[in-house]
Amino acid sequence: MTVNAKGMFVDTTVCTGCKACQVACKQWNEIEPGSGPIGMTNEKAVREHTAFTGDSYDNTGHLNAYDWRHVKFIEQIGPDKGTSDRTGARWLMMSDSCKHCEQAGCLEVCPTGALYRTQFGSVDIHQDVCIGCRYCVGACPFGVIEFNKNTGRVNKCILCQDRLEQGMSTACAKACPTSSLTYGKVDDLKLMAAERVRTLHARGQTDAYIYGWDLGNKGTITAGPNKGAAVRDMEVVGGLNVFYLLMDKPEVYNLPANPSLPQRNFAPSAGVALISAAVLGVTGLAAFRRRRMADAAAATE
Amino acid sequence: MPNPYVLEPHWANWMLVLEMFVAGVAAGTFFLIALMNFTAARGAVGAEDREVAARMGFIPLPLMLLVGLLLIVDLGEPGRFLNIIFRSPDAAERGPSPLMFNGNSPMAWGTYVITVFGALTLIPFLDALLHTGRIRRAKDGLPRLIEAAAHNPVGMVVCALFALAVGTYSGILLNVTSQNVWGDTILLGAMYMVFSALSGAAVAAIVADRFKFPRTAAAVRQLLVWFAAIAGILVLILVINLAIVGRALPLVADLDQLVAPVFWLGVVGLAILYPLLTLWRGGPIRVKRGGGTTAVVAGYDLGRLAFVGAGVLLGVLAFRYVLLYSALAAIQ
Repeated sequence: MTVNAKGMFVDTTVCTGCKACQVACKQWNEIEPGSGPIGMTNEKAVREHTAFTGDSYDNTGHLNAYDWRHVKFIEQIGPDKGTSDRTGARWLMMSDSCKHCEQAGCLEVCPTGALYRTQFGSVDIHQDVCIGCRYCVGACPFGVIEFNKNTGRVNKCILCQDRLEQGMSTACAKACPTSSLTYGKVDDLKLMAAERVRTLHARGQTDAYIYGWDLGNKGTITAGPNKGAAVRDMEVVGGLNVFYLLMDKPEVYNLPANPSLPQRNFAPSAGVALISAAVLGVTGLAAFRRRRMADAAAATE
Repeated sequence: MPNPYVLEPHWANWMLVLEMFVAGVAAGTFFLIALMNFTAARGAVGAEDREVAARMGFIPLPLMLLVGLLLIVDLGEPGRFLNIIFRSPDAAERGPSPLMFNGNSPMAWGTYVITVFGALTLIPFLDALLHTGRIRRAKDGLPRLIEAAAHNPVGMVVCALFALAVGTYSGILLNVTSQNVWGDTILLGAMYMVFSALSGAAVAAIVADRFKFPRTAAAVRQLLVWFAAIAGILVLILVINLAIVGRALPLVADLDQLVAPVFWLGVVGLAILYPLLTLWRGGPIRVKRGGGTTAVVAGYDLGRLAFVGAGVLLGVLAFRYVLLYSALAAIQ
């Protein structure tokens, strides 16, 4: 792990879905609006995340080149059976962004050094160096980094590198009215997160656990479709410098339960290819040798 | 169930289908040229092979130039491509060398391999010019150097290895992603290599047929059968592999992106079954020679091989399409 890495702890239990973080991110980073929302019937717009989502109050749908931060609204209401009993209902909200992974798939595959690890442990992009090859887009296991068709380069959250260099916190954390987003040293944030989980468990909210680092917490989901399921802290891709306190399974928040680095395939794929090369070489030589032997045999007839 | 967490695979576009196909054909053709020159160097019976190899030598260089053009068009700005090879002043974090190389990135490896391979394609091209009389033969100077390079067995092995590396590079590139289908297997590098070699054999088949070289055609026929069989085995393993992880449907049953029809008709039908079924049988045949005598040689009945070769090339193009678009089909 990067020494003295900076990051963010996202406590989803206090997120109100106000989207102040989204607005602050757009404003500080002067992010263009994209092509704007279009109807859900436009298939191309849906794929490019520029359509109205029709999903609760969510109008951006997914992280993309124009939305570096995205507030998710997850309604767990259940079927309405004509009763007024809504005691099991809950509304989960989460402010999502790049996780600034300790083992970042995007950074690993970047052929130009455009993606790089900063002195704060975050993953930033040199826009001048990016060639728009889109390899990082395919490599990110979280679907975070995206190609910007207007610039021909990629974009994602850069953890407000310019603000951090000036000793400031990230714009989103600064704007968050409930401290759902907390910026700081990752080591300090982990202590804070562990304490927060203990507090929630003591109050009976045993669903709480940490996604990004294994701090040793275990719990049981108390509401929603996964009620009764066991959950526990999980360290993913070497640890996330932006990590989350969740109240349900990761998939519910559209987070992969077991993300893996694409580099895991590199050596095995190259190994299988080497075996194939040997097979092709041998069969190639055998085909010509076989023909030559047949030819020589025929010539002696 | 597809992986819902990844974004749309931008590489699923026709520009890259063409780029991968053209690069694969160039690599496969060069592999066959190297193979023919390597075996021909060991005996007079390979004289026909050398003739075919010389004619095929015109192919890889223009194709690699086309690959470069397609890549530049795809990236949008010609100058950008250089950032992969030369370190941008802004990318100083990775070290002091003027050359850029990220060993963890298959794209970085591939760029260097393609660059070296592109330079190597000059050898068969110049050899072809020499062989067809467009460059005058001489006992020393450039012509001598070209001949020595084109027919040196060690050099041919090196060229064959680079050709196979170019053939496999795109497959490994796709393997090292988080995308559906591409990242769900470790077979794509091997498959790209085998299909590239298959396309090279197809080109050799067309050339041998077109210029009437039955002895070379006999060996190429055998190669087409064996390479198609290897490709068939790999395709079968891939489908089983994807079925185990629950991602086979985008490949074998997708109709939205037409992946399934192209897979069954193009890949299975044209690239694998067509050469297997039409060329499986075929041993030494009799060929009439001058003076009314009939000699028995290990040749092949010409006239049909070119059709099979063309069909196989279409099948290889279908393979590139199917692999690239299956990731897109998976998320729609």
